Amino acid sequence: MDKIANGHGSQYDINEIFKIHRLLHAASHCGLGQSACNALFDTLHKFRPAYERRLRSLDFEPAFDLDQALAAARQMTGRDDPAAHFRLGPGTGVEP
Amino acid sequence: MRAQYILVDGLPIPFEEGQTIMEAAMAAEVFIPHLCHHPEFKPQGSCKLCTVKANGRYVSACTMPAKDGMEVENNSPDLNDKRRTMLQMLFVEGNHFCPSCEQSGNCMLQALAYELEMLTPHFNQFYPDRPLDASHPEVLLDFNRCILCELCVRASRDVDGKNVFALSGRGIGKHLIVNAESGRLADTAFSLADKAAHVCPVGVILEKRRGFAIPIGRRRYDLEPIGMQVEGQARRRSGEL
Repeated sequence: MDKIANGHGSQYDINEIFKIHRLLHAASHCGLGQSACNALFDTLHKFRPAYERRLRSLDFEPAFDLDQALAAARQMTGRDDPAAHFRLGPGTGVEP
Repeated sequence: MRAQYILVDGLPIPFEEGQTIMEAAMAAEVFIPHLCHHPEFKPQGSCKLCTVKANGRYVSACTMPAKDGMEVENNSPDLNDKRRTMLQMLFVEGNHFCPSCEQSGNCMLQALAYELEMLTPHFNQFYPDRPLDASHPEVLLDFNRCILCELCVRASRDVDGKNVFALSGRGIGKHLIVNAESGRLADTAFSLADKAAHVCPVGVILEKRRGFAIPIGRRRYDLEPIGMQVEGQARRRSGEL
């Protein structure tokens, strides 16, 4: 939660909260544990945009940037045309 | 009267009146992961690792009485995911460093982590500060590895009649204590012959001067994974192996 509030979260952290919510529901000893995450779950469910505004990215943040990793190869071959770049998305020839 | 059956993952398992799901499954040599359960002691359902889905509801297999026709979901991705997460929580809560642990290979926590394919601790480590108790001449207590299964508490209270161990504190502050004025094991009637000295599923209660009597690699769960040890027996008996 702190991570999301500080603007460092991504979709992964939201999913992580849901995962813990489901675990608490399934494996708690009593109703106290089972309902402990309900408030959080409900706010996430009903006010999701408020959370998503605070995420760094709506997508998963990859730790590894493939295009960046190819920079050395581009420099060595002296190429910088679009085909030497790796970008995901429509029109680039590489579908995500 | 005809025999009563529960269906564990579609497999009919007979049971007697009063048996729990865990007892019926163990008798039929079907493996349900568990830590705090021990066939010789009264079940208490604290580790929650044996959580199964019985007739659509999540229950602890070790405390839920079996009912005729009950449909139990045990070995499913959903349940094993939850069990894995619970194991990860247990791992980060204490100081579980398998490579330096004398119980590596004999430890149920470690064996289950392998069985359920736990690859990382996932959560941030707590690194709690828990001093050892080396006061007793025969036994060393390493509280770092305690998972609060209460097996030593139950054994000492119910079998040995000595009440040496107890759990103290609540919530995340809960911890294992020794029932003595000084809090030291040496000041209790505890001895190596006690049942409590041999029930620890992890590596808290260690016999002194006996370290690595069996080398790592040839220990109980090194030879065969924990799940196979239960189910292997069943298959050997039915002639498959």
